[in-house]
Amino acid sequence: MMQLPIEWLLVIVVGLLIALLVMTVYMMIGRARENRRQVVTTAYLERNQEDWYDYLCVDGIPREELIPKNTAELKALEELFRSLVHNIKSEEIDKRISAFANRCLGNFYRDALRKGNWGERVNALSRIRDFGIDSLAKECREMLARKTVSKEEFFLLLLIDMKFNPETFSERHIGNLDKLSSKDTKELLFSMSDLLFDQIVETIDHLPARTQYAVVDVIGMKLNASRSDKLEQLFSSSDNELRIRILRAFNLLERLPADEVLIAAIESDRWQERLQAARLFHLLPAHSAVEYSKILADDEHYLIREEIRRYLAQPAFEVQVDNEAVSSLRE
Amino acid sequence: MMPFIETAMQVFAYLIIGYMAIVIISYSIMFVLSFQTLRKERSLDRREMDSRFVDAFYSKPVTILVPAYNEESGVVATIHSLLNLDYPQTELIIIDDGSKDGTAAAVIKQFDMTVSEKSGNPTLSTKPILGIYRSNVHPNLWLIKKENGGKGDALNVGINYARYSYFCTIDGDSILDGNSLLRVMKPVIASDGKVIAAGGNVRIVNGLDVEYGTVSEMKLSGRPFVVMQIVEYLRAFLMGRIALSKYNLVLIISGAFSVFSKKHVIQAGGYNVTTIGEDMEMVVKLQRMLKENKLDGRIEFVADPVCWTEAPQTLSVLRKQRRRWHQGLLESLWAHRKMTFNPKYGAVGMISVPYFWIVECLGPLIELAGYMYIIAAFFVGGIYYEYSVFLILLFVLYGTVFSMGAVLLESWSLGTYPKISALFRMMLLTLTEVIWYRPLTLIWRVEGLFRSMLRISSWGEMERVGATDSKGAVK
Repeated sequence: MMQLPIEWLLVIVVGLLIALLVMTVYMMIGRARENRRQVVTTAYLERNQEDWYDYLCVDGIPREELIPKNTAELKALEELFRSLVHNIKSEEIDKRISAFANRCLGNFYRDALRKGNWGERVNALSRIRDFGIDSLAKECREMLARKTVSKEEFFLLLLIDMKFNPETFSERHIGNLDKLSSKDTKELLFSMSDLLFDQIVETIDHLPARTQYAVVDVIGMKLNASRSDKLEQLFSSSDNELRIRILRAFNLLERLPADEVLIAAIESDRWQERLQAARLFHLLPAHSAVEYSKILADDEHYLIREEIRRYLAQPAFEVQVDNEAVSSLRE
Repeated sequence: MMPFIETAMQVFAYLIIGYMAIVIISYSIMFVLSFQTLRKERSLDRREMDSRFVDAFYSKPVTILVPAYNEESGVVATIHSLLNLDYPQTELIIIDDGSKDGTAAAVIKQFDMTVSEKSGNPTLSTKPILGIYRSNVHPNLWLIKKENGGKGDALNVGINYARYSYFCTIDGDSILDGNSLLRVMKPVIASDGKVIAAGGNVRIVNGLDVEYGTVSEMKLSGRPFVVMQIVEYLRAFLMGRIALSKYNLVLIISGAFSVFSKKHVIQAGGYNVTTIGEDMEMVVKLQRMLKENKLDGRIEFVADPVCWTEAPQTLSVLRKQRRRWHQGLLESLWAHRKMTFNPKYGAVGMISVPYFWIVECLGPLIELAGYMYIIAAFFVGGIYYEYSVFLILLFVLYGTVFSMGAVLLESWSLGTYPKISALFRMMLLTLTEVIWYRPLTLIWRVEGLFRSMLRISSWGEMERVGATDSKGAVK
């Protein structure tokens, strides 16, 4: 009969239980420390409330007392800057935050970027971008050149590089956009200055399909109708997905495309194109809208029929066209 | 003792010990994998991520489906919590599955609803619809009244009428944190749709302060019985699902809170209306469909978005719930038994499905046999003392040590219960788990196993207390 290693198992179980109990005590101490840190953080903010107001909103002269002396005060400062950057739009405040952050937080985030913990590195990158810490631009570019960065880090590093080196961003990174998710590509393109974005729009024909989709989406999101000619030009593409997105961009821009584009969309085999076209009808003169609605009123797809029905149900519509035509369509 | 019985006792002891060793090794691997994931994300400021995903331009609109059957006491609070979500575009559909209480009336009255029309695409066949209502206060809030057909049927109705490409299922008695939907949708958005389903973390609401559908204060329930369920949830969600999700091996995401790609669910045939565990069955079906059609899709579990749900407060209700869960588990595994150890289904067929069969489904039977063995061995005496002591130690290792580990892992990484006393109480109670709570749940799960084999099927209604009253105020 096999001898059971009871003693060994007993040692393992007791050892693990003791280790867990020690960790419990450690966690409890950690919680108590965290509570103390909260007290220090609150005290720092309360103590320096007026001086911060003076620095950020009045004279821009940083007092020595404002410089954080420990991690708890540094965290307090981080919170303060974060809430200002996310909630107040003021170039002057942003400049002062950037000046103070470059002076007092630069080393802290430099250390964080070198840490092995992914979460801390991502936090540091977000803050470098939010607080405009350009003294770390070089470190960030070096990091971007590494192949080991995660997707989140890569995206934030691109945002940082775009913020600190916008002149050469397009030529250096145009080929990198395909590595991002479509959401990240759109966010990056949307954050671009108009000048930089126009450079990208000009090169759209040479971009991979996924990036083209994002560029078209962002043209709509930016609500700047000056790029609608480019959209019309792109509509000749055989890529159905691109055509659907172009029509959606026209919808966002609240702008009618050229007649041939609209008619091509109404007659498209793809229901998504027909739906986007139907959503543009409210921009047409009422009589043209009725004519086009006749084509789509009995469409095979229920969403298109629904769209037409909703459009025709608008009370303002009835005034503009003869009731008979509308009534027959409604039926 | 007769040599035959002696041999049988020894073989049986080794069988149980061998099984326990497999389970302990599996749990240890999962614990390490979960620890790695949580350590990576522990310091992350999630608010930054939230703010990047909250913009309507980048997110995807979601239809929230709330199937409700006799949820009069909790459904209003659930709706309040869903109306308060930080998500740019949602449509909320409550599906009253032929409730016998005043579920529909409470919703109609509270949210000023009138009869309305809603366009839909009835691809999935369901029980007849009795009426559609729309709120005059919240135009994105709908109520669909239908004949009783079970939760799966109610969800299928919701899918037929869902306007958006993704839908989120929430139980009628559950409450979501404001940022939960945003966080559970994050992998879907970030993966460009490769993630076809994602499930969030489910926690127990009993004992917490809830006001108008929002958890206002984190307090640990005073009832040991409820605390043990909290520990059990932590163990199941934080250890098991994180680890399985890392390698796309997830077979369960809770029906209480999960999002799905509508297109894929319809392609898979919608929810099964005859099985008890329709949520697990759907996930297994999706995994199967992905492999059979060679699609590049993933199903993920996300640890930080939290859904608060009401846990049973009495033994009889808990018994019915566990019985039902186990029946659902067996039914889902049986329906897709073809996947077991089938290399065609990749790691899901070779690792995940066998794990669920051996550890989750048949485990209670073997574990319960282990408990009975311990009792028998003490009566028989002699050499069998040794076996029983060994088994007791394995039970402590398997039950108490992993539960304590899960509590610590949660407290260290997410810290849901901020008070030191709460952590202390949870740790103390886990020390007692193996002597009362674990055997009880094992008996009920084995009961579920037999009921499933005997094809006894009943939902086992849970009497709801409701986290809040009908106005959403604290009870």
